[in-house]
Amino acid sequence: MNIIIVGIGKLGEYLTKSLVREGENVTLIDEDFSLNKDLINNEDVKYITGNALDSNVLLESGVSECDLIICVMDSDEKNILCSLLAKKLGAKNTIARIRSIVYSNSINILKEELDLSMIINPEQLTALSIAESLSIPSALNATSFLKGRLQMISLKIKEDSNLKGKTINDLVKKHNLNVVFCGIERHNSITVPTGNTKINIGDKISVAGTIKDINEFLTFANLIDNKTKKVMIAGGSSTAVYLAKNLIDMNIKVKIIEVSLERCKELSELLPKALIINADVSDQNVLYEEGFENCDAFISLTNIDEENIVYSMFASIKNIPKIITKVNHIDLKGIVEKANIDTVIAPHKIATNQIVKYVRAMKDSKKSSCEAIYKFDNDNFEAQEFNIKNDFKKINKKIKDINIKKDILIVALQRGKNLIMANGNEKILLNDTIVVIDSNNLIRDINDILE
Amino acid sequence: MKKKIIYKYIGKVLIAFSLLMILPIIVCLIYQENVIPFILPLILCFSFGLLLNSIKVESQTLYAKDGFIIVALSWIIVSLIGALPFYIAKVSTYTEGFFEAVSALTTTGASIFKDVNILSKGILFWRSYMHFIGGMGVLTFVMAVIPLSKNDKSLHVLNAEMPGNSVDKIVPNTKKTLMYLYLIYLSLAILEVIFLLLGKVSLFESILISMSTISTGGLTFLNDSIASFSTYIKLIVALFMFLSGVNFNIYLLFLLKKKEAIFKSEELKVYIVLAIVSIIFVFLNIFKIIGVKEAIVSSIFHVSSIMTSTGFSSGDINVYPTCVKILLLFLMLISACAGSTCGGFKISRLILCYKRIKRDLLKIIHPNSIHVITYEGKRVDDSLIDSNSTFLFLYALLIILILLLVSFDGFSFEVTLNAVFSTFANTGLCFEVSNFSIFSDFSKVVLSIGMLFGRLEIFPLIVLFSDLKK
Repeated sequence: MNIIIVGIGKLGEYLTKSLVREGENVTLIDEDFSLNKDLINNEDVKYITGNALDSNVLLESGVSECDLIICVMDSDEKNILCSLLAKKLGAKNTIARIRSIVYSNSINILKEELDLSMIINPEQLTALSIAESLSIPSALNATSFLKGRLQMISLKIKEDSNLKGKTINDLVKKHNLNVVFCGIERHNSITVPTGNTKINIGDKISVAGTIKDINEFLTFANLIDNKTKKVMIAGGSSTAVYLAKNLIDMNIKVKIIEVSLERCKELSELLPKALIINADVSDQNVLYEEGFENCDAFISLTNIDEENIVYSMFASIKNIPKIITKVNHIDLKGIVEKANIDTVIAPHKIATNQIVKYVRAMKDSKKSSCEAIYKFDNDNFEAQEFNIKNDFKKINKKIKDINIKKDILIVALQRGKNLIMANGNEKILLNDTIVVIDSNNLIRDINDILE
Repeated sequence: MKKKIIYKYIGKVLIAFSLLMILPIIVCLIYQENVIPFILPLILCFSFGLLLNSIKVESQTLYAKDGFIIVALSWIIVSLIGALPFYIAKVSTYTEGFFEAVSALTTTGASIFKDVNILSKGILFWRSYMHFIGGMGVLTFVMAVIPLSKNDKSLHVLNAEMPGNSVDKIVPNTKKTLMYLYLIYLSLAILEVIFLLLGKVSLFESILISMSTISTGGLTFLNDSIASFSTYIKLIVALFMFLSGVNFNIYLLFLLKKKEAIFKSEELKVYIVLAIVSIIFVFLNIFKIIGVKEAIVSSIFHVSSIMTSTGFSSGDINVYPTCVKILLLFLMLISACAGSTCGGFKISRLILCYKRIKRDLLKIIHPNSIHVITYEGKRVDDSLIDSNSTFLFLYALLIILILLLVSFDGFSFEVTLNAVFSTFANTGLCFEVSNFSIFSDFSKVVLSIGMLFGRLEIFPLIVLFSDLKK
């Protein structure tokens, strides 16, 4: 497929890498590529320097033959205008990033009137993802599949964990835990565990199951903790607004600390139920005064990554049970463990996942299509939902009779409204939706899971 | 007071008021009564108005202060003229007439007449008619009908006269807004007349009751108010009193089909909830005394009568237990929505006060917290919050001052308190006494001034008096 990406900021760059890895033909448009030398030198892309609102530039980039144009420039208005222009010039599909809260009330009108295939709002997606992981505070990340029927969480094995030293077979058979172990991250590499894999201290494991089974698992692991009731958010960014709205709906008390007085007033108007504190987060006195030590979760959402990391480290020293850090720019591989800030949220990754999922689903509607995709911290590790159609070669076969690649695991399948955890005797039938774990970024098509 | 434009404005008000006096003359002619009590004031008012109106004006500019002064002066002068028919018809002294006229124009409904049966039809009509004029405001009427000046910046005048914190213009054009509001006012009145006629009340009486209800006044043509009418009439009157307590902008929004805005109205919600809770409270406390059926009607009637500052009565309030009386006094002071014809403190102000208290307490617990006060979904300026608190303070201060002045008459604590509350909040209903003739002339004047303060919401009169000193 021919894809044009307009605006190469952080999201644009990450998106480019992901889509190139998907095997798409990517063309980039930006007015200045001096900051992206690495990208254009290392990735197999075409790039055009110019203003994307100039139709000549768009035509030069091949907009009339492109399957998809993704507008991720700084300003919402430019993105809206550019996608409109591209559509008129013959682009088949358009995606625009629109993130201003002002437009959030008219998103549907915009989408319909401008004939946009998708509107991407990284801030809102980030907020949703944070709210989701707060629903199970003891997990580093929590995400749900199959419209909420299946839940997947990731955990870090600490020294006092019940799980340490046990093999997967032990846990599943002896302790009767009805969950699927999807991945173990050890020394920065993730593998799909086998029955004999032993869980060690310091591992990061991903586990999937129904909500009930996950709760049972957490009880066994002695990780059931109190529900999140009080949340402190550092920085009143628009992500904070979206998040606070979500949390207030979940009956969680929200405190937002923001340094700008004007912004505080805006926040107070947008979020009448949240407590808005006008202070610098680095002022420890204010933090203590506002009950910093008693909050159940501390979320750093300022626009500066370094600040977020420092605040989260401080929260970690003060043993706040749940710490979430938003990091936009810095590559944190290797830093996270040392700094003890476990849950890191990267808006550009979350947004990219949405777009990649859309791109995969676009390809062919007759084939088994990818319905949802979730990437974990490590880019190669992802979970996907597939709707099974006739093109799947092993249809109507039992799972144990299907020869699946080593790095791949079938977690569960949904038939009608029922969720079935995968076991060897289950057959995969037409119209099932299956959840597949892929630890090596192998799957583009459902048949890719076969050896 | 240097400004000639102020006099010119007042001149126009007087001309308009004199023209309004034609209607009671027609009533007198229909019932073949003496028209002198109305003809004389009409001529006086009209000629005085023409005189002031003929003043040549250089500058048309009006400032907020001028608006306050015009409103305060107009109301005082109109009340002085409104007292004349009572005096000329020899039914009262001039002071008593002034009290009656102020009471009628401010839609208080407190009366000095021991027996209203002796009054002629013209005078009875005049009392309810003044309610109706005063309900929407004298100047509001003038501005809706007469063009005051070409580049009309008279919003200051409106702001000074309209009850509530500020005028909410739903239609961009001031004049159109006022026309719509008057249309709603008249339609409500006509609707009530129709319902009363269905209840077999005569046309004349229906009109009088309707004018007193919609303006939330409370003067009637019977000594026992509404008590002798059927349950149907009582419930109809209660319903229309309640409807008159709603901000008229709500009806305007309804006509303009902006239903979402109606559901969002905080004031309306508080008004309805407060009314329902009060009715239940009153009912639970009186049904043992006067019986269940009577208690249902009485609780609905009295809560809606007192909450909207109307002051009609459907039975003997004196038998109610103290807790009910205290609640009713409390409702009297709060009254209903801004932008209606009610008196009192207004629910919108109460909401703002509550929000301010909440914010200030929050500020004590969280010194760095920022909390923007919003009302009806909009950010409220700090200056408005401040002036709202000032208003509350002045409201309490004036009540205490008037209480002190009236207390020299030597009536019981309950009567004194009640009389002051009920006049200041423009309700007019008094528990122990049926009329205000028992008070001394001095107290009558003090209470009259209190009624004007209550109706004009304090600031215009204070601005006037402080301006006079300079």
